Amino acid sequence: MMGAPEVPPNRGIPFSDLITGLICLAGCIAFLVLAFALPAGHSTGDVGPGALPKQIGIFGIICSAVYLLTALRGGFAEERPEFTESHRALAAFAIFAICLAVVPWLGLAPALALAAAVVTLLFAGRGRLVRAAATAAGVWLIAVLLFERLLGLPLP
Amino acid sequence: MDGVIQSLGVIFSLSGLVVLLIGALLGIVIGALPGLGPSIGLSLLIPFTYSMSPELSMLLMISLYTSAEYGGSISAILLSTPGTAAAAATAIDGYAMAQKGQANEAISISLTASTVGGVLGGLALLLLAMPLAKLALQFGPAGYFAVGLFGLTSVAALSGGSLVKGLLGAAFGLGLATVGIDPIAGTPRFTFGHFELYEGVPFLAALIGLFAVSEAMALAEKHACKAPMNKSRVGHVFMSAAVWKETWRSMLSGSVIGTLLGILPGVGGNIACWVARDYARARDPHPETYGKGAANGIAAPEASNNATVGGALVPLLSLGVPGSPTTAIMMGALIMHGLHPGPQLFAEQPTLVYAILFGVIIASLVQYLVGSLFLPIMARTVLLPDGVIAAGILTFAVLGAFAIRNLMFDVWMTLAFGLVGYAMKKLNFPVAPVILAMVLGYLVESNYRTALVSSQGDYMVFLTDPISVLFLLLSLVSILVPVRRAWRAKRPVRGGQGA
Repeated sequence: MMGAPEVPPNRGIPFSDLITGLICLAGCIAFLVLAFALPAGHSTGDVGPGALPKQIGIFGIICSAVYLLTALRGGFAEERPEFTESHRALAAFAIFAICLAVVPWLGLAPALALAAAVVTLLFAGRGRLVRAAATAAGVWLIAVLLFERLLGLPLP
Repeated sequence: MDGVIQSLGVIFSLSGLVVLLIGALLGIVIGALPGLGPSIGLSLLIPFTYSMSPELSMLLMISLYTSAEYGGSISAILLSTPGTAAAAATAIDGYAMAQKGQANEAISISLTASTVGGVLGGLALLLLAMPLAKLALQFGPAGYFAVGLFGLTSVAALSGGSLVKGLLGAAFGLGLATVGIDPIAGTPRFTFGHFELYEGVPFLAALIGLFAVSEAMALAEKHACKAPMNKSRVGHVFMSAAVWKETWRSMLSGSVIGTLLGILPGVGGNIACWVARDYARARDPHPETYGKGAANGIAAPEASNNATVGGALVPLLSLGVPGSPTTAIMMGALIMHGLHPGPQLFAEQPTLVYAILFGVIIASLVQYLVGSLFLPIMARTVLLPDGVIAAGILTFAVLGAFAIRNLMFDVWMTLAFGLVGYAMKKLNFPVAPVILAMVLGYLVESNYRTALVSSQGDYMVFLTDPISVLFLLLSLVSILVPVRRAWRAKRPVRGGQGA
């Protein structure tokens, strides 16, 4: 006889998994459509440049469908992603992206120093301003001395 | 014989020793920083190796790889936070010893065991790589296609998490590998008119984005202060004769387990460390001491995770198939130098091959030297604020991406891959199959199409070549085993429960 019934896992609709599955499926279908537009092979026996991409597209569609089905059956319930702190990660990413967008006017080394300083300010702790200034100075030195002078990289 | 002498000349030259030293220093620091590991370290290091000779760049990478495997144990012992996944098993007994005020002894065991594991793994590489490479020279295109497929399926199946996520990752990586001029007909594919994509998606941009940028974003999520470091004084790290006597068996067994598991694609130090610890515990007359600061609970996993370095290089050098993300990065670095790893490399570049073979052993010894001398300074790096680490990683990622071709296009692509990598991390998708598929894409497609051209389009070529059949069967097994395991885990247990 079985003992006490097990407490069912989180049965909420797995939105993040469903969205992921749908993105994968859409991506694979788009890839397959593009693969069909590729020309056929020229030499005897050659399956052409589109053969492997078509097979990858079909394989991806099958995997995406399995993923979606598994998600709908709650198969990934135990590894449900946690996005509550993701805004901090996305903020750090956005800071770097914005600073890189102004590289044509500011230059890469100062833009990176600025981005590094602002990202450091995102973190709590004592002496944030000093830490941010020190990080910015360090980053600028790394970019100029190590990459531009030592490695000869023509920084924009 | 000339290759051996020339390679030793490169290793023991001033520049050879300097790169080994720098690699060891960087490796220990990167390994010690929780979240970072050899893959991230190597991906950020590649831009610095462009101007080096292939031999020196490989020595630098091997030194960093080996030392990062050891470095992971420092934060595991001092903070109970493994620097790398391969140091997870070390944290149990290592931190327990540190709490008893024996942090120094724990690190000395870890360093010595890592060195022993690294040297024995290197010796295994020296013995196994060449005979396997000679065997691999017999492989035809069909066989090579199947070998590449096996590398992909096994990594997708074994890299942790669900099989379908691993396979989707492999499909994504293979799709990326098809971008650019196709290897047989020269037709541009999926370039959308961007000349920057004619050579394909830059491997380094994908690598830095998926590993480094995503990790920097994950670090940016944290804003809690780090756990206080154990107050034990960290000084010299020489192991006493009594501890040697107590732990040598675990070091030996750990080294053998690490080497064997390292050879298998998809199985690395993160699995080997637990297998080695369990084996040592099962054979120990005092298993009850494990978890309470047992010396063998540190020696076995640390020897095993360093031995995987030599093991993981066996398939890369002999078959040209990387079995882990770290060796995939090393393969990518070799490709950037215009070289294709595989059995032909032994004949074409003997100095480079022997520099790698001997380099693993020498790098382990340099790691011991660096680890012994600079430990008190390096132990402090584990307390670097996460904000500074995240900003530093993003800076090196951007500069490294720009260094690929001096194009901002590559920088933006790196950031895009970073976003994808971060989403994959959050959704528990393994990154290793993507990287491996990108590296193996060329090998798989070119051999697949060459085999079909040689057979006039007859697909039976894959079923008549014995090597191809063997590896296709292995690929099937690598997929079916996790499916069977998952099915058995879900099947309700019949009877016996309440008996």
